Amino acid sequence: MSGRLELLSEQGLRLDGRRPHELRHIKCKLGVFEQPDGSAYMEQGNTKVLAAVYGPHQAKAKKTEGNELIINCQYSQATFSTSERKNRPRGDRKSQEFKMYLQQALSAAIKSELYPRSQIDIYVEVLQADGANYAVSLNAATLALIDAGICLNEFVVACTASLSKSNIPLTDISHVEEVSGGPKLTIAALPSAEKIAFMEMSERFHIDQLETVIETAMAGCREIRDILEAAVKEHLIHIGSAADWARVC
Amino acid sequence: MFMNANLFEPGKSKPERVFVQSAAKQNTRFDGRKTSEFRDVKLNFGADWGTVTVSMGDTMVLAQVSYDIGTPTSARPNEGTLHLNVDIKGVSYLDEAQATYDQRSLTLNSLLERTFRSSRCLDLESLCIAVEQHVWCVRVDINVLNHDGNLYDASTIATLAALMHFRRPDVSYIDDQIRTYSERERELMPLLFLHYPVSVTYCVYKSTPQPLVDPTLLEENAADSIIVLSFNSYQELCTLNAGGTAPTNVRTIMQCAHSAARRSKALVQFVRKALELDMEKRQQSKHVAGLIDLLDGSLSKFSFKRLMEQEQPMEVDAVQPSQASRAESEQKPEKMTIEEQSQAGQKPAVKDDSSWLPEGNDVTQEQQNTEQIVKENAAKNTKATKSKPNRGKNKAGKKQAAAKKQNQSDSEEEATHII
Repeated sequence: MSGRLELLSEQGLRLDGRRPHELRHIKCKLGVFEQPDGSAYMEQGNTKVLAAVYGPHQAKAKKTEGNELIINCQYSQATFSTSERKNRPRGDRKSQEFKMYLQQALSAAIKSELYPRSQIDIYVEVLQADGANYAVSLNAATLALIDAGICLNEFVVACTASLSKSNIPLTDISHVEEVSGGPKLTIAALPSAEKIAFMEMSERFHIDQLETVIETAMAGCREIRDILEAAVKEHLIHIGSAADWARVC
Repeated sequence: MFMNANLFEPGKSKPERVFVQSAAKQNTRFDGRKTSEFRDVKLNFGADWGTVTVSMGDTMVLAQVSYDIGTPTSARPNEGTLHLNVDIKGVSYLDEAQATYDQRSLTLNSLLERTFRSSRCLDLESLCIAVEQHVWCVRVDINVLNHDGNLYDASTIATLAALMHFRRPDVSYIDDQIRTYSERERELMPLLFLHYPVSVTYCVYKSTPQPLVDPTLLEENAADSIIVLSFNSYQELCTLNAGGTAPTNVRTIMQCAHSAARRSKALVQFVRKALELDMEKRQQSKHVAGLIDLLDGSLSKFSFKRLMEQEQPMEVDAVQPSQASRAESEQKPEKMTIEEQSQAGQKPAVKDDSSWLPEGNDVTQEQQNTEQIVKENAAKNTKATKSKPNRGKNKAGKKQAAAKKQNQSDSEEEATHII
């Protein structure tokens, strides 16, 4: 397309100096709040997200549908998170959509058979939006669920991928790359099982490229999983150190 | 309100789910279809330009295109706007809870938005009248009249057909004055397309690796996850959405993608064919169906199965081009021998392909003949075969004159691609 920017320089570097397969810098912390049952903070490049989990607690009678677990999500984006001030943090179409997708991806990861007739509330707040908002929110939600001690089948992690003009797949795209008009693929995956919990794609590319782009995103997911796992271990050592767990490990 | 009103909708209760799951395991479906079999798509055009109903089984969708002259957005001052709106209030009896209603309309809206708007299927710059001042605002309203599963496909087909059917009046802009011409003054103009996207929906169950295509409402509600893929006729993926409680793997998605690409191609062909037949009908008689006729079942509709039956050899062609071309040349031997005889004298001379062809030959024959020639003196004409794209062959098979218009925009699309 004529209006589309070239995302890769001649040297093969991206706009922010990353190589095509490089993730942005990830920082995360579990247990940032006292009041909720679980919470986490996650930073991926300039995208910053807070997540809090309440539950599992008894579901409201009105909502119960048989014995099933109700996963209640809220996605909200702070009004100061974008370069142009947002009018309201949630309720617009985009955040409604994200909320639904979060629910979908998390319901594939949580061991729902262990929590009959209960409800888990997950609140996600995007403090700064710089691309891959959904992916970072989901990663933060996973960490918060782990912090709350809720049983998961596996880490559910999300990663985005795009395709440069010369058909080189790019991992973890930033906001600039998002708006420059390339295709965008978001995958929420269970990396060890190689399963896809949720997948979304917009713009267009040829079917022959689909597999490589999916593979790139999956590779990104695996990388993020390793980082999250390390963070969880470190957190456990930290909170356990009062009881001298650190020496046991 | 019912106490447990969710049971009102098919596929929401547990026994139903178990039943559908076990049926899916045995590769059986309740309407007797195979797992990869689609329901027949029926298309009908209304009296107005851009009014279309699409029905797939009991699912029925009405799409209506309207237009207006408005001001462009400041971000894109030289582009017209396309607005899509899905209304599912017609089937709101299904949604006892606000949440399910919201979810349904949200997914449908977002799918259509991404399929038609973010993939830039319309050439919006052609809808500009005066930069920063006046542009055409095209609006598609999709009304769901009945819901028996697979609203996604029904509404994308309806939207595509409505946009392709739509004609806008010609307009001129002189001295800050807009003048629209009525149908009598100047011919109405169709919208310009860059590509033609259509979606295909699959249902995945935990019990079986085989996805079900074109689900009914019962199958859709009982499904563990749903995969929706939009492809255009050039096998480019425009939208993908996969999600649910059951995780899928890459193989399933790729398998769906390949079959969806083929299906989309056939669907676009079908819509084009139906449009051509509708044009013929309009030129012949003045009576065209009104709204009531559209909804009434008695009217003859353009059915996918019936229209595409004749296309069968072409579909084969699309899948296995090499075989099909062989079959073509086998069909033609007598004709070729006659032609060979008549041209025996000139044969040694190097000929321009077109010079010896009798005039008025249709495109198909021309292509077949060139193929034959290629076989005869392969060395001479290899260039011609190489430059002939596979895609072109399919199109050449269509003899309708009206197809030419579409082809033009096709080549435009190819051009933009290369750029």
